[in-house]
Amino acid sequence: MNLTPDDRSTLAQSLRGTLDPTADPLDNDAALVELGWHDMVESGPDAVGVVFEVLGMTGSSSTVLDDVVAVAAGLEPGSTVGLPRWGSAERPTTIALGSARLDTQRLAGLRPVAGIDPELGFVECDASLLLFGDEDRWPAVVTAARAAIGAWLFGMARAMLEMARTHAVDRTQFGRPIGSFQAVRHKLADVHVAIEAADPALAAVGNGTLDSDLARVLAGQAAAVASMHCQQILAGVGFTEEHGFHRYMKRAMFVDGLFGTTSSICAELGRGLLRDNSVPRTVQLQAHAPR
Amino acid sequence: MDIAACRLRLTDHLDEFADEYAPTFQGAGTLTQQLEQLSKVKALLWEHGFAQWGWPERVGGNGGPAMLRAMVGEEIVARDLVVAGFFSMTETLAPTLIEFASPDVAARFVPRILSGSEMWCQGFSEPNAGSDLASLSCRAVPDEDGWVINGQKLWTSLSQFSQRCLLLARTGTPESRHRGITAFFLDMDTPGITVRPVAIMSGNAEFAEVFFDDVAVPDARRLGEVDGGWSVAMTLLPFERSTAFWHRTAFLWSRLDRIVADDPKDDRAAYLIGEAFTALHALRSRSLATLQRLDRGETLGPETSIDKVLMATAEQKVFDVARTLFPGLMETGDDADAQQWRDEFLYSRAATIYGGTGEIQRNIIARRLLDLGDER
Repeated sequence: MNLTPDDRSTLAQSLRGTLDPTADPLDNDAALVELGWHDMVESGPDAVGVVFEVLGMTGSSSTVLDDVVAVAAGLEPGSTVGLPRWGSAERPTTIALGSARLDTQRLAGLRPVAGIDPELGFVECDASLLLFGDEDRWPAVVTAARAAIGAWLFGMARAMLEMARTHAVDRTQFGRPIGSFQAVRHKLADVHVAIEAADPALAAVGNGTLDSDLARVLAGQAAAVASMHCQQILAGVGFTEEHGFHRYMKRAMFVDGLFGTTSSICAELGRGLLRDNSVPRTVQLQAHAPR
Repeated sequence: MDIAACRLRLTDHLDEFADEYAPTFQGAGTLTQQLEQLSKVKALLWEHGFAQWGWPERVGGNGGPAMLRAMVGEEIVARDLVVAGFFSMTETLAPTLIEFASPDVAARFVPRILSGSEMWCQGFSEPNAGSDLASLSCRAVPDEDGWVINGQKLWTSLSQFSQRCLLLARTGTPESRHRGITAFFLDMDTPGITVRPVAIMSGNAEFAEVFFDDVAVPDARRLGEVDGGWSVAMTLLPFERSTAFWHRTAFLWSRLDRIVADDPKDDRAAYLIGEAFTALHALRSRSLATLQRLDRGETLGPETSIDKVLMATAEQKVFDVARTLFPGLMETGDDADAQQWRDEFLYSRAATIYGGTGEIQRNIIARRLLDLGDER
């Protein structure tokens, strides 16, 4: 299913009204299911991308990555699936990451992963407790998960830019808004460029593994540049727990390790080129946008 | 017109006439060789009817969308038949003439640049007007026969080889900035023009200083309105950042091909190649979206500063990666291959300078796209 730009903004609008950044992951999941999430996740990467982008922008917690994985693995949405260990894209055989769908009260042998982003509610556990689907579907799982994670990181990058931009306009030092200083402006411009670089790549996911990996790397780079520069612009204010910035920055750090990190996927892409001894022409001239 | 079908016709032709199109020299060649090759390739494309694709019929073209020109240049550049930057100069100069010259001037001269029988240059920058183009001071004063031009241009690419020049000159008061500039299209053999070639750091005398001493230009060679030269210059920019950029992406892609084909034995190779590939993908995706907007008749504006930053970033990344993975090649190599990598590496350093520096692009992004208000 391809969404028109209008469909996308209508969906994004209702997601913004639905997702609650202060809610538990499972509560946001329930709200998403109410909104038709199970149909969306089976309809392909377009609607999934919008959901993850808004999850990222609003800083809301959810376990719906499980459903993206489940559908790609040939399982039912709502299944309690397993994810690779942080930083890895390998199908786990011993220790896996599980989502907040696992009941830590009922199941022994689970280690709740507080880490840098306890709100996401991940756990570490034995892979035997989790579903992974057919082994030969794993590459498709990685592709689908990376497309969703790319959109998630992209949403976070956009939220961080908006916070820093607002601060640069509102915050006065030396008798003028700090956004009038070129050093500040150029940092914000670089964040904007990184975000805009990822945007068309994310819009093209659905055309295979390569497109998904490239979009994921560009989104990860945007989130990294945004984390670095927006933190610096928000300065002493953004360094506190009272400002919302830290939640995005920490979540971007955590999410960057799901199904491989930005840099490990980058190296994976390079290995693919070296193995095939060719650089695929990923983008071809065509008169009209793919969607 | 279907682009894929046109591409097939062109590639069949290029395969059939491969020997005729091929350069007669190894590697990058000298500047003179490069320009002879450029004229030859353009003349062949014209003779066989491909150089006309995507240009209006009233200037000798055979119509169709500008995207056809993007495709033709992509194929020519991908085969390494020409220096991309030289080939693409047509993409900025010819559309400007078509839009602003009188119909007969455009019809008379545009076919000459399309067919490779003439080179044109762009006289914009001056010693004291680089990033701050609106401060230019080369003057055009009206007299009974037209205009008299006095002043100096600098960094004027290929002007010593050019028959025509698209010139910006001050016609308002010195303080009038962008409101007091007029554009002209003049003949480089007009008395009073002196060209002093300037070598770029690779050693090639690719651009020049151009001096104007009482140079007479008829009013028929004025482009656009008196004092309307700024909009002429601003019209040129989107063309640089659409079809010409697409050509350049093909050049960068071919260089990444070469790096990969060399199969560098370096622990960092996979990561660095992945990074360069990602930067190229971002650039191509963005550039395609820009071409599609142009194709739909949209006006391109400050958002093309993002294309420009992505281009500069990708270009420097590709050559930085080459330098890391081919240790010593650019620093100590003396064969044709090494010479070409060195020249292209050095040229890539200008990617954040020409056509508006990286800093100017970020200023535009901050003010126009992020709405941060004025500086200071």
